[in-house]
Amino acid sequence: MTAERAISQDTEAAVRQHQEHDEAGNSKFGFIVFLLSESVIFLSFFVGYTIFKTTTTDWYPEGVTGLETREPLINTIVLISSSFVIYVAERYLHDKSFGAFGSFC
Amino acid sequence: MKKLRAILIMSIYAILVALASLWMAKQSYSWFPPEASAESKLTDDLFSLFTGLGTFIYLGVIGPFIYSLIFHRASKYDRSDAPPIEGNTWLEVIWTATPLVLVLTLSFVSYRTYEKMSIRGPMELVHLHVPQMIEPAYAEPFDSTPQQDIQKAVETEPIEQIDVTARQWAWVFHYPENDITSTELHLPVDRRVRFTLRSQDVLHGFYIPAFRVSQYVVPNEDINLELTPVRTGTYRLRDSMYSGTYFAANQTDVVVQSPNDYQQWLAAASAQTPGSAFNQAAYEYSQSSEPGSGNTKDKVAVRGWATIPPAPPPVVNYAPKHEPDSPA
Amino acid sequence: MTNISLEPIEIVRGQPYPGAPDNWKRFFTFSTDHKVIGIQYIVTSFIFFLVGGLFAMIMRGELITPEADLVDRTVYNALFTMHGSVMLFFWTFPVLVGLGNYLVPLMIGARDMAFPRLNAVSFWMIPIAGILMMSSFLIPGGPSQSGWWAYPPVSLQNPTNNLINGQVLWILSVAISGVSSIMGAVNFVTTIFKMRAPGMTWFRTPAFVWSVLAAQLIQLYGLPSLTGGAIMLLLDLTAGTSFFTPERGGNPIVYQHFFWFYSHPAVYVMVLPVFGIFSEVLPVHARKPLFGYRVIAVSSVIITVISSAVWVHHMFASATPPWMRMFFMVTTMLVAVPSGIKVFGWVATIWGGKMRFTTPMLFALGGISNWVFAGITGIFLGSVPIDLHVHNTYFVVGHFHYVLYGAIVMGIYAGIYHWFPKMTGRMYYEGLGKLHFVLTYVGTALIFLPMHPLGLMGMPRRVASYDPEFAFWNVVASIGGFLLGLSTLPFILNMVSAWVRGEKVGNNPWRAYGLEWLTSSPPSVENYEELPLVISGPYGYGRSEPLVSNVPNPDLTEFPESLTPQKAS
Ligand code: HEM
Ligand SMILES: [Cu+2]
Ligand SMILES: [Cu+2]
Repeated sequence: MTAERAISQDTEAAVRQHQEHDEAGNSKFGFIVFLLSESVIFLSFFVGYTIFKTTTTDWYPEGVTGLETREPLINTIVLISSSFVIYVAERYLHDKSFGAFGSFC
Repeated sequence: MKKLRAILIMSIYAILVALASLWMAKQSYSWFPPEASAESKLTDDLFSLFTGLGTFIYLGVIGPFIYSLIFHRASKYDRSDAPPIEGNTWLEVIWTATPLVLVLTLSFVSYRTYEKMSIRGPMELVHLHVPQMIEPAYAEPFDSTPQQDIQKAVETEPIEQIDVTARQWAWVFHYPENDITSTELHLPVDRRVRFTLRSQDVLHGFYIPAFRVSQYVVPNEDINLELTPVRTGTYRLRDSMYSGTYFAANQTDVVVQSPNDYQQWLAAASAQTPGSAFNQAAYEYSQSSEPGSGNTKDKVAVRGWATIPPAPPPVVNYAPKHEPDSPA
Repeated sequence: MTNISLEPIEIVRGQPYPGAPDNWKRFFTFSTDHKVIGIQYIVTSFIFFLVGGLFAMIMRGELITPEADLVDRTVYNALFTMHGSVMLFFWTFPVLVGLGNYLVPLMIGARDMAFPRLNAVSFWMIPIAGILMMSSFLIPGGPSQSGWWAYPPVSLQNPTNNLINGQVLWILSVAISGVSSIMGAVNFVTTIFKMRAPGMTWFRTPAFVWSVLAAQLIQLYGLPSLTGGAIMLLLDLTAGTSFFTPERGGNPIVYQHFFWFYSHPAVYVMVLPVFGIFSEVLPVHARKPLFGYRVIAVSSVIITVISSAVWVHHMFASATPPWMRMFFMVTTMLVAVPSGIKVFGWVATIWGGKMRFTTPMLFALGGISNWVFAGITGIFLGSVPIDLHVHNTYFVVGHFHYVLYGAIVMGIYAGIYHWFPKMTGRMYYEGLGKLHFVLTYVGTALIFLPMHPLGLMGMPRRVASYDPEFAFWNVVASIGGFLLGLSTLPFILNMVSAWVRGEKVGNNPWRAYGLEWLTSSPPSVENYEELPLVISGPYGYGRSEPLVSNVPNPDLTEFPESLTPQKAS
């Protein structure tokens, strides 16, 4: 028991330091957990859509005849590429290089 | 010596529990409505087995539990702790393995029962008739009369087809051979009956407690269900899947008749010109003082909200004369 | 009986103590203290418990007679819908989140949850969502009347044709509570994974924490499925899509899969923390370590896994093909194995113990006995041929109320009584507690046992009227129901008066072993002066082994005493 105590007191300071100040680590862990969970929502949408589309003879809502793909595609590209730009801008902001930040924002 | 006494007490308790379980298993048959179909006997046998084993496990756990509550109490001024027993690998293995074996066995027995009932049900495309009955030498856990009943019914006469239509809130039965309709379900005894279940609006549940089988009725889908009535009498058909405002009133009678009576009923019904049947939901809806705008009925103490109006009373060849009443 | 021999310890208050009664105003603020939030959760959800209970009283009033004569059928249908929804989404889930919120950081030796502000946001969504759902009583057409399942097509029928109707409010409200639950789950999982005190390895983590972790993992994988289904339902209802609308080619059965993929595991979200409470309460009041602690802890996680593959047992009578019926029958029955392990472990824990029948112990023992019964009827329901007879009858209602009231609500009461002295620094009144227990236990048996024969006889659930043959057992059940209604009164009286004027007790009145008992009662804002350094597993009763190497609070002199009990008396 005393040996155990000695060991644990040895590591104590380091461990405690780690634990009390690891907010960034917590955020990262929590965010990954959140993303995993959120992706299940989209999984359920895909499942719902697939079942609906494959089992229904005419799956379009009333008054709709075909699926529009061009505009949504452009919008999607804009949306996704914007997140890269924002990411780069944020990195510069973090490094306090405001000039470069401005050029991305 | 002490150990011997413990073993003795435990054995006596086990015997008592076994006896109690047997008694409960026998008792369980009396908790049901009459066994009006061959399938119901299969279900009741299975339920009896579950009741017996369930009682055994329940008493097996609760007995030591209560013993402990009585004898393992701290005396008033005893502030000491009990011995620090943290576990016992053997015990833990046993009480993991035993339930495992038990539930697998119960699953298997349930599977056998389900096979024997061969009620078809949704999406069963292959119509092999009652295949597992051709296993003569197989030692069956239960008595085999229900199977023989089913088999006899299948062999002696063709399957009787009846189309069932459910709607908010009425049941209509169509007999395609004679092309007649009824709001009361008449069935011949000792014949295999195949229902084709259809819904015109929402989900309903086709449930005849005396037959022990319920099956959802699903819009856009034809669901087949096969049963073998074996006992004449009047039973109740209930909607078992919540279907909206008048759900609780969506019930009717089931009359199982001897083949002769059944044929007579068919003949009499086909002689009648179709007329509007009594319908509880439509009746209550029409009693409302301000139809559509809230109440469904005037008598109640607390008034209600708007409802989907019931479909108009079905027009059928045969309808029971008055409000259907419940058999005992 | 309770050994409250310890004279109150005067604590110099450097920091505010959130549970203390003079501090009640804190509970109406946007506090980020997990203890304040925990109590906010518990009290708010208890108010919803009373609301849902009121609905149940009216329903039992209606069911005393076979005819639908007390309330209109639409009102009855709205009441059972709201009863089920309130009881699940606004009582059982949040109250357990509340207990978890209060206890998990204390038990693992953390200063707070990982994300305190997120925690507060999660809480404040609950009253908002609850009030939103209740507000549907005031709009034309009334609340949703499609049951807590909200199965289409009934849930898509909109008699008023208004865009704002009861069903839409129901979906929004459930969605908000779902968002709150997901945020809570992320918070719990992160806290438990990342913030355990130094030295607290997985197998030194209390069983309650394990069970909360197992339950919150279920929320993470299951809840999104319900949310997805609910969103599609909302689109069908308002935007003219037809995922589940049969007239336009949709398939209502698909909704059932989405719904039950979450809602079966959801029953384990509710019951697992209660299993955790049983595992904590029994050792303390039986003075014996939890028997088979590791197996009990791990079995929670096994339940998390198995319960993801059993949902179709709620759809045996639906348009479910035979192979699915058989497959899910086997998986369903397998859940009984880890559940059984726990029960055997609890019985072995009290066996040979030195029990004291304090109120929390009584509730825990009562809850376990009810759970044994409900688990067995659960196996019955898992068998396809039996379920085809009893599905959607009162047998099912009896089964799940035995779980939900008999085991879960009783377990929650056990937890509240057990940690009441920790939360408030005061002791509840033992006499009122015992009265509460007797009323609850007898009431539960009276109302929910008769539902089993009713179901076997063929009485469907969700009916406002029934055939006279069912009258007898319904009268008995109604009497039991009113008794249960009555049983909440001594509880409320007990909690309020004890919180204000109860006897002050020390930090560890139960002489319990566990980190939460090492700190002051109520704990100060940051829980511990100094974070504990854990050097042994939980439940060290009967061994003279300290739990932590540093006693974090010098006031806690009674703790070592409990470790050397022979000298104590
Ligand atoms: C041994 C474990 C259990 C088994 C095998 C089991 C089995 C079942 C089955 C097969 C059903 C469906 C019956 C039907 O609708 O026809 C059911 C319903 C239900 N069970 Fe259990 N169950 C178990 C434990 C639990 C637990 C732990 C809870 C709650 C915490 C629970 C709550 C419910 C609820 C709420 C329903 C009904 C849902 C509804 O129809 O609204 N059960 N159970
Ligand atoms: Cu209820
Ligand atoms: Cu389930």
